[in-house]
Amino acid sequence: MNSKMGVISPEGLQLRAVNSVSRHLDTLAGKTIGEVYNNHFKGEFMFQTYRRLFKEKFPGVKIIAYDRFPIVYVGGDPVAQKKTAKDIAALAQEWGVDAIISGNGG
Amino acid sequence: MGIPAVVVTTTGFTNIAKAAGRAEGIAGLRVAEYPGAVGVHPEALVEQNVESVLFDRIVSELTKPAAGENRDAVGVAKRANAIVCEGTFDEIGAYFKRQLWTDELPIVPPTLERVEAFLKHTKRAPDEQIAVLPQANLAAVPWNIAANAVMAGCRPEHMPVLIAAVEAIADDTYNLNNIGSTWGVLPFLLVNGPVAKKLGIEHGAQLVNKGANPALGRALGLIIRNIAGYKLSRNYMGTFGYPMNFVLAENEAQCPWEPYHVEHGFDQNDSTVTAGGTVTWGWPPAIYGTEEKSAAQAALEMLTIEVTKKPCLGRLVERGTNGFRNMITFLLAPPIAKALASAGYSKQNIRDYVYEHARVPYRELEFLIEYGHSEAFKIPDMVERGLLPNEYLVQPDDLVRVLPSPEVINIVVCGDPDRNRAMVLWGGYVSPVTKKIEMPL
Repeated sequence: MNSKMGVISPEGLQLRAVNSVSRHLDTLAGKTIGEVYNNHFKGEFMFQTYRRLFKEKFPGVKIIAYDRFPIVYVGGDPVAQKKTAKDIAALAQEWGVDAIISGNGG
Repeated sequence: MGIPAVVVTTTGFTNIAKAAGRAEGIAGLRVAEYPGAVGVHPEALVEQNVESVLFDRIVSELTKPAAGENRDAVGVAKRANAIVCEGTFDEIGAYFKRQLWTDELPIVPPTLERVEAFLKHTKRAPDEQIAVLPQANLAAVPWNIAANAVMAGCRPEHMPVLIAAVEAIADDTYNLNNIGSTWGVLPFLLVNGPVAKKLGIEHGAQLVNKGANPALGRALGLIIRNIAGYKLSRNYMGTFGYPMNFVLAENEAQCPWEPYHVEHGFDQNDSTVTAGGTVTWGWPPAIYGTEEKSAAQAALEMLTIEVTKKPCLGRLVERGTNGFRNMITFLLAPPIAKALASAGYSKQNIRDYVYEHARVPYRELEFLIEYGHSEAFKIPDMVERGLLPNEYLVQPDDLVRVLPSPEVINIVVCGDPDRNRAMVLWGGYVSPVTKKIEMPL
């Protein structure tokens, strides 16, 4: 038990390239914000509150509500989830969305 | 897509969100965290928290440079057989624990000699990529699969089973990317075919505890931690944790139908491993309050339903000195306990509520007693013998209590302090006994 030994790591090997996130916006005023929802954790109520606060604090913000985007179902088939994510990205670009709020994780 | 996005999480879920981002190749995902367990917060508090905390976080994430902007890093592959630590058995155990590479139990040190013995039991090259496992999206190769197998106490000849298991959990259909849920999903393996007998993988009584099964199950758990990258409290979020991963084999000789692997398109003489998942040590419902029903009331009703769902109601109802020993344990995560206490419920109040309300129709109880037991008694017999009181002599559609007394319920506050979940454990044959622990001076 007291003799020394050398061991290898049980961890997986990191192989995959890591991509950057998109650049931030300088301001949200006048921007178009898309809501993406997974139908969980009281998000429908929280999105309503964001809308009110955007209206109060950032003039000219346009909101594209979560019910116009596909719902991202929790625990669904991963292939279907990835397709949904691509569909959402395509719609966001088509509608000129400047930023997305996605939720809720929990 | 060039559009900044922020993910909203509740407290405790930022790490898993970032891990999910990394699994998709994105570093520095923008996350805005809501303070607390939103499920038990009334709407007024949710609105207040959004207004005073969350909204500013969302705005900040979208308008300030993120850590992950302009990064174009490429992970550097380590040498899979590099020596990462030298020391005694205890020193290596301590090092592995610090690295979060263990399941909190002592491990067999994965020396090169031990690992190389496993590599002789596969045709795959030691550096060959077997799969890339989410959430960490790290590559599984024979070196690191074998290292985890050694740590778990497997034998070298188990290696082919574990390689196939890694391929199974890597399949998109398995959905390994989503097992970090607070549900507490526990992966397990089912082995079919001649390999089960050859390797001593048990299919009989106490199978999950015997033969090669426990070591293989433990190896699966370590692979999920170390190669898939699921770490407790970071992105492996089971509210009340996880029992040990387990392994089953099918008793094909006594199976009156096609065995599982044949049913799924394999030849009878093929050996297969199937990756599955379960929450059977207890599914913890996430309890939500609404404007119409408080979180406390919802918790009471949910606990009541959970009690009636437990399988052995026929035994649970018994009482008296000859009645069956029963023990029910409520695991309440702190947000649920606080919601109940804030609404004025003591532990005894909770016990009394569930005792009073947990009921099933007489006909259901009668069915469970008649067909779920090996005894001849029916409800009237049980009343006559003092195992049930007279209140059970009712009509088929009348509701009868499923609990013998409020006192069979034990309440323990534990689990994720940020999650609004509860779990009900039913235990028969034992009654709880508590003793004082005498500490040495």
